[in-house]
Amino acid sequence: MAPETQMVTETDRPTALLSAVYASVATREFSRDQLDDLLRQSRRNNGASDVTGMLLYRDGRFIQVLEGPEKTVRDLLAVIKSDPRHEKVRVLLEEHLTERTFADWTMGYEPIRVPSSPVAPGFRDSFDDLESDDDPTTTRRAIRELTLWFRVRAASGS
Amino acid sequence: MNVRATVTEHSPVIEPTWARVEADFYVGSRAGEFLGYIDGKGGGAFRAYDTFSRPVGEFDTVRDAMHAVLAATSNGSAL
Repeated sequence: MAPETQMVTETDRPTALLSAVYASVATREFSRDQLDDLLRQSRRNNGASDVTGMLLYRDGRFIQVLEGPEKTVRDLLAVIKSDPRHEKVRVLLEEHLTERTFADWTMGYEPIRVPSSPVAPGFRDSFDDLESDDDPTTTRRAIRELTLWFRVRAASGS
Repeated sequence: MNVRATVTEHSPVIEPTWARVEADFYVGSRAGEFLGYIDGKGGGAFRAYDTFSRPVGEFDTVRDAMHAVLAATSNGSAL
C-alpha cells in the first residue's frame, strides 16, 4: 500500500514567515517620550523573538507592520490586542513572505508630519486608505506607499 | 456581398493613482505598479523620482513633478 501523502501547508512550517498589518487607536494621545518608551520596549522584545517591522503614528492612530515566524507574530498580535494603551485593533492584512521587508528594523519608526490641509481632490491619503478601506488591493497599495516613505525617510536620516 | 467589419480594440486608459503619505510626499502608481514619488524639499521645491527611485528633477509645483514622473515612465527612461 502506498504511504499516505500529507499536504504540507505554509502554516505547518515552523519557519514560515508571516507579515501582519494592523491599525489601532491610542486610548490616550502619545507624547514623543511615550512613543520612545513604546519603541524601546518593542525593539527589545522583537530582537529577542526575531520579529521585525515598522510602526506609524499619526493623530492618535497606529499602524504597525509585524513580520517574523508565523507563531511568534500571531502570539504577539494576541498580546498587542490586549494592550490597554490602544483599542479598536483591526488586522488589515496577513500574508506569508519569502523575505522580510523590514529585515534591518526590529521596529522601524519615523515621525510622520501631519498634513495641515485636507488632501487635494484627485489624491488619495495613504494613512486614511489603510484605516477606512477594506479592499485588499487598496490596503496593499497604501502599505507599499507608507513602506516607501519610511525607507526614504530612514535613508535620509530625517 | 461580403461585408467585413473592422473592429479596433482600444486598451482602456488606466489613470495613475497619486497618494499623499505625509505633507509634501506623494507616491504614484498605476494598476498596482509603482511609478515614482515626489518629495517636497521645502521652500516650494518638489523633487521627483522615477520607478527606480532615481531623481528626475526638481520642480516648483507638485503638478510639474507629477508630470515629470509620468514622463520618465512613458519615455522608458525608468523602465
